[in-house]
Amino acid sequence: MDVTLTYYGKLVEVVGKSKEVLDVEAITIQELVIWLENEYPDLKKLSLKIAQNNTIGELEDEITSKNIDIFPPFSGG
Amino acid sequence: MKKSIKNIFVEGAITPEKIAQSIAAHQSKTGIGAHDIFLGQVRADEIEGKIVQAIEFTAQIEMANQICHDIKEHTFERHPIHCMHIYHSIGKVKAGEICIFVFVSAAHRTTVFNALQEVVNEIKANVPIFGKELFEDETHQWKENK
Repeated sequence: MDVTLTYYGKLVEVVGKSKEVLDVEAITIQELVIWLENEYPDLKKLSLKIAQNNTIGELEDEITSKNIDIFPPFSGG
Repeated sequence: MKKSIKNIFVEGAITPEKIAQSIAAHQSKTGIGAHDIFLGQVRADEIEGKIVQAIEFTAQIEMANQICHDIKEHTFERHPIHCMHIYHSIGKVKAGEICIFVFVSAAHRTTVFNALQEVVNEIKANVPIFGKELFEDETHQWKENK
């Protein structure tokens, strides 16, 4: 399944792009985080939040949406 | 009745006129005896000798609106408030200008004092908005919430 990863805020600079498409089969959010940190070691310093269907997921959740949002810490207000 | 999801975002700074109009719009709601308002203003912080000129806000807009809607629903369940409004800037807001406006109204003061504090803390913690602090020399750093 092709999944579009969208990066926000500081992450756009850290990974050098705002979106990318990844072909994955039955992976969890934790496995995605491991892939991200392996691909972009600078992400290890940040506390990432991963959302699908506009909801922040737990590490053990399986990725079922084709659109995944990847956030650095929030800094609104 | 399920309330529709409102757009909290305002392009650029939130003006004092918008805040005044919002207060005026409540004059017909005479069951209200207390309003409490939180206004967040962009600080001209000095960081390593450079002064913040503005903050540029970006967001996952759909999710931010959904989460603010959920925060409102929870607040109505927990506190006897009459109404509540959340506005947040998107795009560039200069130092000294307002970037967040939260407005809570109820019959009595203790209700609004308690509700407003909870709401502002929840927005800061849970809404996917990102601030980029811009310096005069066109460099920047990413804002971190304390």
